[in-house]
Amino acid sequence: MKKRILAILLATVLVMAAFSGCGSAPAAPSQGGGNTQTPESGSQGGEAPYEVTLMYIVGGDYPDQALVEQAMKDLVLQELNMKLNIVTVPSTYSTQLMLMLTSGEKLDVFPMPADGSGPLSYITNGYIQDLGPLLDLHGDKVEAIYGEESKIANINGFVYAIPMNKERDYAGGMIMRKDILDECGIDVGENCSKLTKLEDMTDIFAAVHAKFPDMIVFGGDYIYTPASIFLGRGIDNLGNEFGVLLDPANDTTVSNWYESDEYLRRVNLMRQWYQAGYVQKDMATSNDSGTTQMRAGNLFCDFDLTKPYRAVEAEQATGFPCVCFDFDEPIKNGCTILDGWSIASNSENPEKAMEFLNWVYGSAEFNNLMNWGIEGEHFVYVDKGNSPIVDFPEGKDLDSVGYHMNRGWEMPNQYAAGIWAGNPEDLPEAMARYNNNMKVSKAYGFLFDGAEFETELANLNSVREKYAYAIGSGSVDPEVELPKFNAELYAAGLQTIMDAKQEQLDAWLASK
Amino acid sequence: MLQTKGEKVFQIAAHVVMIVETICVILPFLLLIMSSFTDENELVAHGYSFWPNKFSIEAYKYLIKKGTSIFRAYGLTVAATVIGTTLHLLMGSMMAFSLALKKLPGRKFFSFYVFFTMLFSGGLVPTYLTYTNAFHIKNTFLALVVPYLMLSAIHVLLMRSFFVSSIPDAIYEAAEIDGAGLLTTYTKIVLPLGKPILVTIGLFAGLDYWNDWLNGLYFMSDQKMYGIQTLLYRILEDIRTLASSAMGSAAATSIKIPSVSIRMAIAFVAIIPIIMIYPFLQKYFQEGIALGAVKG
Amino acid sequence: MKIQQAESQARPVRRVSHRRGRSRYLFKKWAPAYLLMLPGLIYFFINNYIPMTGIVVAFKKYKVSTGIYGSPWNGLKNFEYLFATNDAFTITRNTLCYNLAFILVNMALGVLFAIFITEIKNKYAKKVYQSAVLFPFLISIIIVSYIVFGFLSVDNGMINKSILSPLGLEGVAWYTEKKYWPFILVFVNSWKEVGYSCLIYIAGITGIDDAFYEAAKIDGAGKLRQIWSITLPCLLPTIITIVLLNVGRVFYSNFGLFYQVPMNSGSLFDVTNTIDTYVYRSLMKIGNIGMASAAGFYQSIVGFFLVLFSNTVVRRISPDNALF
Repeated sequence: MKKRILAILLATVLVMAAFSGCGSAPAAPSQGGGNTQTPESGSQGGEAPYEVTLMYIVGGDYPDQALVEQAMKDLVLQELNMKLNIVTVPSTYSTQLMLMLTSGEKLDVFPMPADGSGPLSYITNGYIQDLGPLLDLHGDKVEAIYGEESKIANINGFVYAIPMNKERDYAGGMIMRKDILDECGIDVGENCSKLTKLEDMTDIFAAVHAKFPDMIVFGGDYIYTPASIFLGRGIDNLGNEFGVLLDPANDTTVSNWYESDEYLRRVNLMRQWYQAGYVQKDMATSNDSGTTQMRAGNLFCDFDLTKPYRAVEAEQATGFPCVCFDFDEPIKNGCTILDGWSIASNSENPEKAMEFLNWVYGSAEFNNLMNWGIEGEHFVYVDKGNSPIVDFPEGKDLDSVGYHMNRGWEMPNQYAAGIWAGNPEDLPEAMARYNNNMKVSKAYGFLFDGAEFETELANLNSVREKYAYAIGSGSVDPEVELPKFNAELYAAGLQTIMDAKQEQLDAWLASK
Repeated sequence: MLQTKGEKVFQIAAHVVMIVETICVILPFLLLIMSSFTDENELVAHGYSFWPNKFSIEAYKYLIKKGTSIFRAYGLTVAATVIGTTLHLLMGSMMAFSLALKKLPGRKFFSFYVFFTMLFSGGLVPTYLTYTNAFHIKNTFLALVVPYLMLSAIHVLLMRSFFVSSIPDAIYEAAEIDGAGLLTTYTKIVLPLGKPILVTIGLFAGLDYWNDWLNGLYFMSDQKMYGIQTLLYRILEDIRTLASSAMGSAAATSIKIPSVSIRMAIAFVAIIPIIMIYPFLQKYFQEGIALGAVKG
Repeated sequence: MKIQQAESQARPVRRVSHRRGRSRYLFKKWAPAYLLMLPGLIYFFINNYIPMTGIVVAFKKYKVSTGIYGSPWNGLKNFEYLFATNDAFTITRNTLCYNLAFILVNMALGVLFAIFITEIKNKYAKKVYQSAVLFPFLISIIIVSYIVFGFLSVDNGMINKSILSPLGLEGVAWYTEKKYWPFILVFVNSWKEVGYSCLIYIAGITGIDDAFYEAAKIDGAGKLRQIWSITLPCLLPTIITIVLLNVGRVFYSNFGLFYQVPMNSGSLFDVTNTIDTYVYRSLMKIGNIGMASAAGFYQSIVGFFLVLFSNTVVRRISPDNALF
């Protein structure tokens, strides 16, 4: 008996020892990160080069990865006198990133994942630096691109990231196969100008369904229907979809999207289409994107987020001529700036990290390296005009080239790099025009700080998962399910969130 | 050999039940293999079927093209599996043997110590902190072998239970009387007699190592150190992202990623080596059974 | 029985020996056993016990700058979301009921298959069956979910397309009809997992002394009689071990089975939502380590008490078979 007690005691002591030893380990580096924030660490010539650690997403297993990384390192050393360390991560990396951030591993600059838990958790967990003051020091290149909107990605003034250079709203659109439309004798006009509202799709669907009864008229991934997605829709969701601005350009009242007339209209339409047999029966659980299904040749139409030249993209991805009906009016709002490039609180010298990041936003060479590889080896300039066009070197193609990412949406500044041949030449200008001409939400620059409401948000997320996709795909009757949906949302604390949002938004508007 | 009527009925019943079970297993398996050889468009448009209208090896071509490091990854996984399983069995059987000694002082405490690890876990973050900050195994081969997999409480307790129930106390007592120490008892008696359970647990541990992709994902940031499952997972994820996001440029036209059939191809590629090795392993199984039966 | 006799015989001898001599004798006798255990004990300490202290984060408001242990206490706030809505009842009921069903079905089928496989005389058939039981174990649950989808898909599924429609029956919308799912999930789970326990039972049966069967045959006992009075009792310790091990995990669920296999279909949540899937769906957009840890702690502590209870019951009935 005595022996057992002794053994237990011993074990406890050992555990306690480990407990305290382990506790200090992760804390130390981040404290270091906090200390260096004081401005005494200015860079002087002749100093040892700062080691900056960059995380970037590599979408494949490229034979020449090491070569490209070396070229990136050389470039950074030469232009910035910094030693670049590279951590590559696969397409899905939120967990790896979280582990690196919590364990105090060396990391300076990283892309905040769009599929992760969102910027708020990065702030509340203390993973990232406030870029606001840093941008004042080194922000000229970023400012050259974004101007006044350089610090737009903030919550309560805490600038969590610099957004990627891309479209500033995700509006919804219906992508249709042009060849099928032609065969059915339907004329939608130039850029679908003859279509004005979502209801106009019903007749088209009916005609296609009559002519091609075996074809799936509308389908795709379960998130992508006009009624189940939580992005775009011409509203401003203020960071999460619980409590939104329905008319963000004019009105700043927070209301419940799931009780709005617009939502009801879309839901009923989906139900009508579903019952008429237009919608893929498995839509609520489908994991195959509309693009994949369309490419297989059995799908006529899918819903997707749009931007300039979306139809061209769809054609390239599906192999069929496509048209895109942009039925949502784009509104500049916060939902496209939830991801971006951030600086970790692990950074030993955030100023240096910012200097590097700022440089990246302006460097055509670096963005080219990240996306297309080494010039001459993996790509060549076809045209070095205002918006340079690049293409494969002679004799190389996608299969034989040693590096070819083609994931512009993840690059800090894809338009600093070359535009790949075959794309519309005025793509960068078109994008800039698109972003500058769209209406602006009155709450642009405001995101809800829900740090105190995590219990409610957790429960709301769970309710949303239960209803949103089933209702949004039309596979259940909204007359029965929608009231239940809203009742459960309120039971989970929707009103609390809406009130808090309204309060924060009003305070933000007043301070502007 | 004489067979009673009851014996015959029993044999027939056993065969019938097992044949039903076998069919239940084979059919989905067949579906998996066939769909990995099905034309992508056929698969998306008409779903999985046992005999596709259009065959294609596009998925495998793509895998080979994209996974230039597939063979290195296989090598790493094989090495981790062999080394890890050996350690797992060795440590586990030593522990199970000691815990099976009914008179061992502190037996209850140690059993509880083992069992408790099954119940509570600190989660991924503390484990990661321990291994990377205190033991620095990130991006080393050890990361594929040590975390999570090198020993399992369940396996220790299952082995203990086997040792307790299948090795009669008389054998231990006889060994003690012969003056054999515990070490000799372990190596000369328990290990040979425990063969059936050792083979079984070895199989499970081996499969755990073979199928593990999380260690690679979390403890490796260097792609070159990925095991096969991590690599395959990664290829799958990359394809999924590419297929679901709007393409950035025209270069995408030339790729037709077989995003649906490739899932099945990947599942198949991951189990091919096991299917090839299994018959040999099974021989070993039979041997174990025979030896176990002899001992009485 | 034997042991108790042996013990009572041994005791008086030891008692007379000198106290010091006795402990030296004990040490010499048992030291190798502790030595053999040592590597395992150390491994568990590093792999499980050190990280286990991180569980305190369930009661903390985590910030990376202060680390897991230094962050301020947060009371039970991290637990609130688990119990805030009516879902708490649904997920607890589902988790418990499915696990109990899995334990029972897998035990029954596992023992049945193990007995059949060991009793079957045809060597080739035996090999084939043994492989068949194991094979599903090799496929990841995500692939299983695609295979299930291949059968159940409304548009293209094998059941709707190749069975129901030729029979003139209307297709079933499998992924919105709740009533089928308890059976589907139990079936899929057994299909995939039964091989695990089955192989262990096979090992257990092979370990049974043949002398027992010989004696029974001489006594004229039939096959069923032998199974009932020899195989099952000899297998009992293994069965108890497996059941006890499962009882400890009764509040955990196989995430893939409940999330991927029903394709995350919202209409099915009443019968497919378990604690793990609920936590995942709630937290995927929140990223709070404390809240995730709280769920784990809740699951563990319930399992812990259930195991303590069942182990005590087992110890009352047959002390040798208790886990600890």
